[in-house]
Amino acid sequence: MTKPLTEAAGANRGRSLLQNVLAFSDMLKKAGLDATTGRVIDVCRSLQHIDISNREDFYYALRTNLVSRAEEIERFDRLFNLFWGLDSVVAELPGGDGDKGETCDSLCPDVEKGGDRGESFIDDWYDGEPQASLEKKALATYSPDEVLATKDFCAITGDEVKEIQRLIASIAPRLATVKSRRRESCAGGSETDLRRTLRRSMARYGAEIVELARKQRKIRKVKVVLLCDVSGSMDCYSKFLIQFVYGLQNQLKWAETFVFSTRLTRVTPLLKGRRIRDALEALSAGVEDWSGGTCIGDCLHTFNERYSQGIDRRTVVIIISDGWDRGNIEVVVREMRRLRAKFRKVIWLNPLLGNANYRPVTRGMQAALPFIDYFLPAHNLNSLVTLGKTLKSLCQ
Amino acid sequence: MLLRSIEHIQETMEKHRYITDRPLATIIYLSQILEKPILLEGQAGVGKTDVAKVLAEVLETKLIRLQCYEGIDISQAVYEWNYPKQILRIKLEELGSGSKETVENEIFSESFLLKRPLLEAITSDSAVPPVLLIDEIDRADDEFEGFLLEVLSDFQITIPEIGTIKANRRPFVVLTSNRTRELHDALKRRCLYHWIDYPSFEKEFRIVTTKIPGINELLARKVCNFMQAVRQMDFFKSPGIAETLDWATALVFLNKDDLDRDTVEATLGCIFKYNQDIDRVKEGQLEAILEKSNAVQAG
Repeated sequence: MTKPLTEAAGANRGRSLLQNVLAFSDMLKKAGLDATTGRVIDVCRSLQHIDISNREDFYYALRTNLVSRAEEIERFDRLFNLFWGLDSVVAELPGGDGDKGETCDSLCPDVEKGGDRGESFIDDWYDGEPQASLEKKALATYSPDEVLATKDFCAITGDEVKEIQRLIASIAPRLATVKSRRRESCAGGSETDLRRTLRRSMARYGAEIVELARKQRKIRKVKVVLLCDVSGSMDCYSKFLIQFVYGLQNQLKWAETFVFSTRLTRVTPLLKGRRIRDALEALSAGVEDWSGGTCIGDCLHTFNERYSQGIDRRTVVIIISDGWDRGNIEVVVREMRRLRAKFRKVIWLNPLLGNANYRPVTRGMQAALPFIDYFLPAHNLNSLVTLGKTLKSLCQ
Repeated sequence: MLLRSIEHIQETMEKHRYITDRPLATIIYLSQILEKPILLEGQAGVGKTDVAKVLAEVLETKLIRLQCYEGIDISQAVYEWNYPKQILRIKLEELGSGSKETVENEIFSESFLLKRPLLEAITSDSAVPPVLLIDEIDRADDEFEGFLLEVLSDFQITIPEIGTIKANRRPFVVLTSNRTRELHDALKRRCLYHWIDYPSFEKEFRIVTTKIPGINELLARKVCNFMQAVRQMDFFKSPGIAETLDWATALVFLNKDDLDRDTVEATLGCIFKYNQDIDRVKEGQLEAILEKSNAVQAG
């Protein structure tokens, strides 16, 4: 499974430039870049017009055609150097020498494994049998029985897991919509639709304006960034919450998921296009310090520095953590302030809030509190429903 | 005017006081050949928008700018019927004897059409096709992006009442994005992508001396060193080239030819746009940065 990339690169290497361009594009595709046929054709067209002996020109001609986001540049560079390296990397490395670190899998975090997407993930979460019926999902309603709805996630046993999964899946799509500034035509809307008014007048009333057409704002979905603490005691809660957001993902306009303990890791690509069980397995495997200690401040800092570009005032950040922090508290304060400035709302979920005797006295929690809009529990199904309602209400 | 080669682009853009590095010139050149739009991303203030402006100057053609914002739709980006004019026309007709069909055909003809940037770019009949700048595309929403995709792939626009209008010659298209959200893959595939980074010291120095001809060379060096040092540090919003130019211009106007603590403190507002950043600099990092930028200078 884990085939060294160098070997893969060597296997397809051809003699002509065209063959090599194709082999290189193939390698990029395997590494998750969007090297479509159309783009490869454009690469070939580009190469006709530049001096390919100039390495810089050659590099940029390839890059501008094959890369389409800043995050991909680093990966592209590594692969470019590997493939088009001046001294042949392939010859130097004995096949199967894995300790160079660059393997297909390590460079291809988001290779799609399962074709199933979205709603069908739920049923085969634990039993592994894809038996999903979409109609059933679509009609599923939220009516949890009392016991399940209030049971702490950490106390849930094998049989109940499936039921919980189903419930989570059924409530997720109903959440989180917000009004767009874009208008759509609608009887009884609050604004006049001049264009339609005139068209209608011409057709029906011989140019006399009798009836005003109306329009109103469309409903639009909210964007969510999820930051999950996966250190020690938070583990079981985070998994449910990640799944909750995974269920939301198809419904949301945009969702990004990160996990953190001592370091922050973006896991959105791991969750995409897989069945949730595979996704969570990949998560545990892909995140090194799952269930270690916590440095909230440092992790928030990483997020603010590296990932906050996609954030606007329609985005809500949900942090799930118990607030136990081993790092510098001043950093927590500073980074929370930055979050507060960027996001529409900051929601902090703390599973310990489910306990009536809990007081947020840990230093990390104390430091973060002033910057939180909603401080909610997240220990059972009912609390997820509350979260959903909160998301919905704050967007209107 | 045709862009003959990569070197030619660098040369002519520089004549118009835009320092163009070879990668960007390569991409502009390829964009002309492949007839593909350029998608520019990068931090705010690194000169993304200027690429289109200068390109229009170089090509001696018109710059048509579409500033995107949340909720932008076809009536603001492509076309809108001139409703008051239509209504007046209808009222006038009531006195005459034209049939309903004649009036309808007339008020939905091109002379009742208000052209917005996209339609204007496509219907332009100038000798050199215009440069179409679609600025901050990330601010527009998905629906608009989808529509844009259609326009940018075929360079044609369909108006139900009139028909399909196709561009005689494809305009030169530059899109910019500040990455407040991820653009759709399909749109990206239509474009040549380029990421504009903060400039190196050498490039920034050339930009400053080109844009502000009156500046003392020593001051320019110090300013650039200072900015390079600032960008290594961690601020809420790192300053771009725009800030460098503002600051350098301010210093020239204030007749300063050296950077001392007081001068810098008094003009920090040119560099930082957030109070907390200004506070952080003043709280203790200023000396370090000044020392660093002067040390580099001495060496």
